[in-house]
Amino acid sequence: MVEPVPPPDPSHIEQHLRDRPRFCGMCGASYEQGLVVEYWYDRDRVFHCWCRSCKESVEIVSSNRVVGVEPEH
Amino acid sequence: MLSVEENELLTHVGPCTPMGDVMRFYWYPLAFSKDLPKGHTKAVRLLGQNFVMYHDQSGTFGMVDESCPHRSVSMEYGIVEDCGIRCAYHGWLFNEAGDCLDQPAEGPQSTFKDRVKIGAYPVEEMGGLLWTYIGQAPIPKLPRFDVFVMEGVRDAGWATLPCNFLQTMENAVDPHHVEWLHGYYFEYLGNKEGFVAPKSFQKKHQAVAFDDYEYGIIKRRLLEGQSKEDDDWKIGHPLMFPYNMRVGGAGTDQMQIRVPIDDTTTWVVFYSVHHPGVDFPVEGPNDCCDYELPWINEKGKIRTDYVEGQDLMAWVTQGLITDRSVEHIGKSDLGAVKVRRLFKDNLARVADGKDPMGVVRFEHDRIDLPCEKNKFGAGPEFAIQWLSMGSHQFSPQIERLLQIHRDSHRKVG
Repeated sequence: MVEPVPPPDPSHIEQHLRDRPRFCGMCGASYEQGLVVEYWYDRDRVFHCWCRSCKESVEIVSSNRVVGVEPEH
Repeated sequence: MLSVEENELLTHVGPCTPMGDVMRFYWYPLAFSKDLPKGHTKAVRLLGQNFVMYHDQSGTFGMVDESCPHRSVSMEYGIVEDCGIRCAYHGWLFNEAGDCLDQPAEGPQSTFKDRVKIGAYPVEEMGGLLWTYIGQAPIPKLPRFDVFVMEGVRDAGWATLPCNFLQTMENAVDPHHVEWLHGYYFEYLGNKEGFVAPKSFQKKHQAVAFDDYEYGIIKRRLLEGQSKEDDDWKIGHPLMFPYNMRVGGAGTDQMQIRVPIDDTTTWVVFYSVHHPGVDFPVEGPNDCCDYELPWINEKGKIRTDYVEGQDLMAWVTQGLITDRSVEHIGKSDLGAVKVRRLFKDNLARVADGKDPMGVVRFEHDRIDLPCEKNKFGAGPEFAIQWLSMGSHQFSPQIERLLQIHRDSHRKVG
């Protein structure tokens, strides 16, 4: 009845555990008691972080590309 | 993507778990009152613990731990007395407060019974459901949310599913799945199997929003052809922390109840009240027509030929407890991110000695919840589509429900 869950992609799991932010950028507390959820947007990896200490939510984007806008010249 | 540890923290609800502590601040429905006439017992399970509900001859509902404190025999086989329940094995009698009133074999002079109690829990009847609370004192009020106390024709389809409750709650803040699972996929299946899928579920989302709300999260959607003055955006509907979602439209109000039986089992109830603005015999506050949803077909596969069956498929096939350490979520999944944060926030509240959100301790007669009336901009037609192509089609009173909504259609013109 229930289909088997596909095997995990170890590289993504390893990258997540390696790169997930560990400390709140607002108050410096550890995210160990908070929440770090990774989602993907276009080419970016986004870490949605919630700090249990200061209750602030931030998103940290791991980005390989910076897109600039050239003003008319 | 979450770590394995974070996933376990959010999904394990048994005794002595952090999330179990949060979940034990709330009342839960565990049975329909008509299933427990006077003199009967019913074995039930909640948050990984086993209990027995009973209805004694004086009319009192009670709930006790399943195991007798004497020698652990199940109280499900107990003798229901005028006031309380007596273990079938040696006749120990307990009242609804858990006091041991009689130990026949110990003799009338023995005070042993005064030193023995069984775990006992309050039971209240509301909307045809039996509700219980298994947490610590002080006991909060049973929230009289509008759906459970409003007048109308009550109808409840239910299923016991092999999956963790959080999968069902993440679905509650996932607006995009509607246009795909209930829209595109339903149309695909209809073309393949020869039925007409409802069109109101197929509209594309232009925007979605999730707002903090005192009882959870308000979900809003802006569909193609709509403006921000339409109900779906202006009013929306709430995810009710930690286990309900309030929906409705076109003269039907519904609470989608997801009771965590244990870490890998969820009792799902689609509890509806129909009141489409036409005359119909008013029913008693505890009259409710309930029925088990057929969610497995003759091939052993999950039925996806109705709206709620499609949701059940999504929840169950994610696995008993879906492994969020291997998921790949995107920006369109931000509702799931928000609900995880909500659970984490409430874990922190409880760890700090506070009530989690939505625990009701004030006196009240009824708590009204925001919910759109003109669902998907489909007008009264939505009710007919929902009844015909959703779980209501399995209701023993489906013809009656269709009739009162058609009468309403005609009245509206």
